Amino acid sequence: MSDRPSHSQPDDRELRDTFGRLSAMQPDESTSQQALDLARQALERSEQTNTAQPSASRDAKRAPHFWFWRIAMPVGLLTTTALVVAFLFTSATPQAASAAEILQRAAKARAAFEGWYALELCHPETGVWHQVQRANTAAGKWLERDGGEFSPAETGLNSTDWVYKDRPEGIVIQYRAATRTATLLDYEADPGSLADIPLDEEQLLAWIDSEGTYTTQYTRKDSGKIVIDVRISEVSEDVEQARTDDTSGYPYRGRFELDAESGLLKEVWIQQRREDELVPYARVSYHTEPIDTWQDLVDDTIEIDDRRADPQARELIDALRAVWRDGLGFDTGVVVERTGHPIRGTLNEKGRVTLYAEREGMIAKFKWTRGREIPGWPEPTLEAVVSHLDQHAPEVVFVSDGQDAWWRWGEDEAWNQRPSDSALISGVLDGARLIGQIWPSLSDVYYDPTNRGVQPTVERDPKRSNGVILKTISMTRWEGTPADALVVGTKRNITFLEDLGPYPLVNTIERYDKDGELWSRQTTRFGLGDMVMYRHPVRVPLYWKYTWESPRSDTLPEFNHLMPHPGKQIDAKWFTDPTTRWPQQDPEEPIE
Amino acid sequence: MALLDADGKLLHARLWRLTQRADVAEELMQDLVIKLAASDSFAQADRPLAFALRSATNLALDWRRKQVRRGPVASWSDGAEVAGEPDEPSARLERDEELTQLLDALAQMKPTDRVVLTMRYLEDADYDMVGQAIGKTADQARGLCSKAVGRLRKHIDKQTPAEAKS
Repeated sequence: MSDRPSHSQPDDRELRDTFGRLSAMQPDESTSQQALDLARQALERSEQTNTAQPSASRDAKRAPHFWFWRIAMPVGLLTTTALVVAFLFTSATPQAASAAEILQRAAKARAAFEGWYALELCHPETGVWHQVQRANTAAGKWLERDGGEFSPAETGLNSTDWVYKDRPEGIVIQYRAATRTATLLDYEADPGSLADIPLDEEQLLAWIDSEGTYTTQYTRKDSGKIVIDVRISEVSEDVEQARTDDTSGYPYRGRFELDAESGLLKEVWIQQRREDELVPYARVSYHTEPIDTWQDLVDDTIEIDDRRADPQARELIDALRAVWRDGLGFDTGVVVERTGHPIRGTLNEKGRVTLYAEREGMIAKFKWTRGREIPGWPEPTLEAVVSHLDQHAPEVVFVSDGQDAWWRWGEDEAWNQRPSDSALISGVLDGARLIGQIWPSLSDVYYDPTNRGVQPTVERDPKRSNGVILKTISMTRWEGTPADALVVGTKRNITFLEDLGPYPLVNTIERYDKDGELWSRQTTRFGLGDMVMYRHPVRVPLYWKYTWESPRSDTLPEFNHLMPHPGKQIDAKWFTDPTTRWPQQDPEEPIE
Repeated sequence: MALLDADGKLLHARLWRLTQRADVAEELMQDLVIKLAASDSFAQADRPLAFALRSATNLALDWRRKQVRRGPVASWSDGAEVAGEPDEPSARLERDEELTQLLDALAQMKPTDRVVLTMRYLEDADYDMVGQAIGKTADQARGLCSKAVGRLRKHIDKQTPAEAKS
């Protein structure tokens, strides 16, 4: 890219960095493959039906769900198709159970399935079981996972530390590390969605009756099964239209298979293209025991693959994990100031101020990206910042009690209704709607077991007797991408000082293109002279320098500082201009 | 479709990055291939991959724009290697915030701006390639790109925090 811009405007670099992060993110292989497989199927269906409409493709994927969704999730998931058909329920078939039998079986069934059940859905064309919905009939809660959403393997965290919590208002999936627990998924309960799910014969027949769409062809029992075949009562114009609109076909027929012993629904079959063809659509399994861990919710085939072959690397990474999971509390209120340096451009002309605060055991972080609005800029007093907090919601709020943490972005009307700054922390909890949770681990950035190309090793730092260098190499090819510009490999070296933590001293990331040519180098040098010692034994530097280099553009250093203020009181003047602290030259070594 | 075999992963990656959602990318991928299969413009395109990438970008950003109007767009910052700041959780959140702001701002922009910005910054295309894609000269593309960057900054700056939720 010979005419790559010089990026004399620093904003270009910042934007490019963000774009660069976006470029570096990529889905895992299985996610891509599944998406491509589905796309091929959609394309084939589209070509077969010659109805190449995007909405049709999506509906085609969902269409096989239609019939069952009306059974399993009758609330809100699908609009009602105008199928007004007289219902003819032939309950008088010779094999039909008596009312007494049904009631007896239903009572037994209810006792059996007052707990969790799992509903799996199968793609009618591929035969792949792809979606799992879990529900607790007793508690009225449900949990859905479609495989791509979340799994321990994707996090790289030890799967044994996943915690499932059953709460009145929903379901919580947490990650537990030492004494800390981070909430990762929080599902709100939707009891209404469970109320009508027909899982036993009585409910099923009642549903069919109320639906008024299907005719039960016959009910019979054979070896260990109750089979209920249903057929649409009348192929009206509306039904035909629905069948046409759904390119994979609108089922005229279906079958429910129930366990004769328990009376519980086990399998659902639906008609595919041919009327005489029934394919598996859903299956239900039941758990009488509560689900204790996340592992109960994921495939048994998922394994955590520890590829840290190097014992030293394993030791160092484990040490990092231990350090970062031990605590998150700050001893002091601090302010990070990223603006005011002459190299910063218009994106930061409004200034950025972050206030760290601790009160009554709570820690909090508030960030404004319009720091210049604070009186006294660029040297506002702490009082001014706290006062600003009363009137202006921060763009980022981060609060932790040392056990759990919350964050949110964005304005919240409730914030502006807070009574005063006296409730600095509790006001956040009470007045602001907190969503989201802290991500618990630092070390996953250093070691990502889902990246199969990463092989970390540790070497002694030849320049420092107490230094070790953690080296990782990641090779990821982007197939089908053109030319020379894209990053296909990353080398990352992090130098730690063993006797300080481990304390990261220099962090270098080099990215290479497919020809092995350097694409960019990012270096962060952390200061050694001043540090913040948090409650946990992590030392955080007060100063660090970030440099982005590329053969294609200018080198642009960026200076940052973190300012601790132990024991500072309101009215104290605490701000310091970072440019007065930093030399303008580019130091080769970390700041001592 | 040959493009799906040759460049399907690239197209899916584009959708995945811009939506930050595996499930949405999966669905949009289906939309994309069907749209392309039915598109005369695509059939006649000199550079089918570039055409497809543009379509993917617009699909993803249109989805994102709708989501921004509706409320927070959930995303996970999985797999991105980022350096330059201490890798503490809050730093990761800040990076996510910047990414979300960028994507939301992109979603609000005109199609041409999206094309030049994504080609220039995501694909690292030179101005000749950008110009070809939009029927302009390299110099004109450079000017358009510069203006688009300016507009992107303005979009980011004027984004209300509510729109930047993630």
